[in-house]
Amino acid sequence: MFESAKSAMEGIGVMFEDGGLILISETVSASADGLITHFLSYGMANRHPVCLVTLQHTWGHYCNIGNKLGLNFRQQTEQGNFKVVEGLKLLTEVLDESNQDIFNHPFGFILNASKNPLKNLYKLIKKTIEPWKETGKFFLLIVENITSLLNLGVQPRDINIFSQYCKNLIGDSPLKKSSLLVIVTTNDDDDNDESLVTKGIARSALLHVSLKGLSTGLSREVHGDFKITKFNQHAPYQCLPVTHHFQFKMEDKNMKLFAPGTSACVL
Amino acid sequence: MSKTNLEKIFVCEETPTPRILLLTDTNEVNGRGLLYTVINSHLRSPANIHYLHTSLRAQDIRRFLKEESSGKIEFYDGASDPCGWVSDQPEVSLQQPLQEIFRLGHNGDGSGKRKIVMVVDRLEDITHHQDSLHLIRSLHLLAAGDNVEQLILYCGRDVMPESVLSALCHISSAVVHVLPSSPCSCQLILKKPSRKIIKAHEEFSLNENLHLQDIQQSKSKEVPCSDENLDSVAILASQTTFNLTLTDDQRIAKNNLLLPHTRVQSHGDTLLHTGMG
Repeated sequence: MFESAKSAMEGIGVMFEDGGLILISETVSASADGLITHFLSYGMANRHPVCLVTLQHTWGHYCNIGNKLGLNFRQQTEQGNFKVVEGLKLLTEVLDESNQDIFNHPFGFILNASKNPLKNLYKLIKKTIEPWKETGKFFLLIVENITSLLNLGVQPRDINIFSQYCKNLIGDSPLKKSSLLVIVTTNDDDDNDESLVTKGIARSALLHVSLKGLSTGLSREVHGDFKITKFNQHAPYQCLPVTHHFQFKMEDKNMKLFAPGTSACVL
Repeated sequence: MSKTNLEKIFVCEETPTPRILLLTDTNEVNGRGLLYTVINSHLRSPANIHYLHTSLRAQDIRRFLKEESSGKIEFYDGASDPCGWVSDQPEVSLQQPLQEIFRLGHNGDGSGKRKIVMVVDRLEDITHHQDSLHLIRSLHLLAAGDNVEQLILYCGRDVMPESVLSALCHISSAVVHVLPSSPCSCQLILKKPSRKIIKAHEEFSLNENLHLQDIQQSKSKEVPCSDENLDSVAILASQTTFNLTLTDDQRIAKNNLLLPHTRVQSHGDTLLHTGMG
């Protein structure tokens, strides 16, 4: 969908079909919603099943974005190609007094302190993607926004454990093809917990896409910085990562990437 | 003959071998190449290697180690099911103490004369599952074994709790912090048995066979340091012509200054100013 973003990631040597973990970190001033829609449309266009775990927005939010871009995500869920685990809906379920089974609920940790608060959520995701794994299908697992769990009292270490288990679900290995896991975090330098979670996941990610607003303020022509960082997992003798730095502008149906300092208002 | 401290540590020519080697990196620089370098050096020695991995799989690690010596390595899989979410009885649970994980009693190396090298890759994953005090104690116990040649600890210093990192630096005989400079460099701290401490900042590179090369003392006079170590007040003060510092008398006067909005309580005939909040 966003050809420029796709070209930027392929330019650094990442092909989505090879699978792996992609980390997208956003900030308050630069949202990753566009990139998430990009991955959803990639799954739809290539007929790959998609499991979307929404912890910050509703599924309706992404359907509305899709509608504006001419993509019918709701139809994909009706056809069984898209499966959605809606965190906000599960949250209201657990707070419903009529719900008896709190211990096995994915968000039961809110009412019952648990040693492994995210274990039930992991089990639900595993159950959701099991049919695709059994048939060896390539699928996408998108978790957004994992740092939202910090607002529910989950500790950074529990989120890192959860992300490790999600990575195991896709069968991530540089030696053989795995499915694609996309994890979205909010990375605020002033928030230690968010920063810890982002750094912890980045260590095991194939690719880290960082979206940040401009440090100098707002601009009509430049909406933020788009940075891609990749360590070569096949060449550990290369200690430093490859980093590509762009600036971006979100348009109605497109994300424009350009070299820093080359926006339309400058040239 | 190797002369640099880095080469002595990673080619295992330092005598005696540092009992605990701490290797750290960050999100901006990968120290895994150095880790494989020191493991390959040990593979050339008679010692057996016990490797606890928590992020990569054994087959992903094995391809960078010497093929002909692969029988000398025993892998402990702490990556697949670290805390029993998949199976009630995982092969390796990171919630167990490290000395139980390595199971020295079961494989016979504990009572034998053969030297062993233990590797923990990555230590911060273990801090997610265990109390830090128990972890440090476990590391002490592991390193104290009679037949232990070396205990190699690999972690990210930007994700480790600061207290744990300080404790690790304290107990380690050799500490190597890989720095995100170009060319790659590292800060070394080597503690000799004579209680002499050697600190060095050395540049290096690795070839495709994971051999160290181009090692030299770092030419840069500025030692890279993390943002947390910067004294922001000192930097701000040096960048302006205004005098931002206070003398002791000025500080006392400032603290005693009663502002109009300061709460005042009356206690009988005496007015008590609450002063600063």
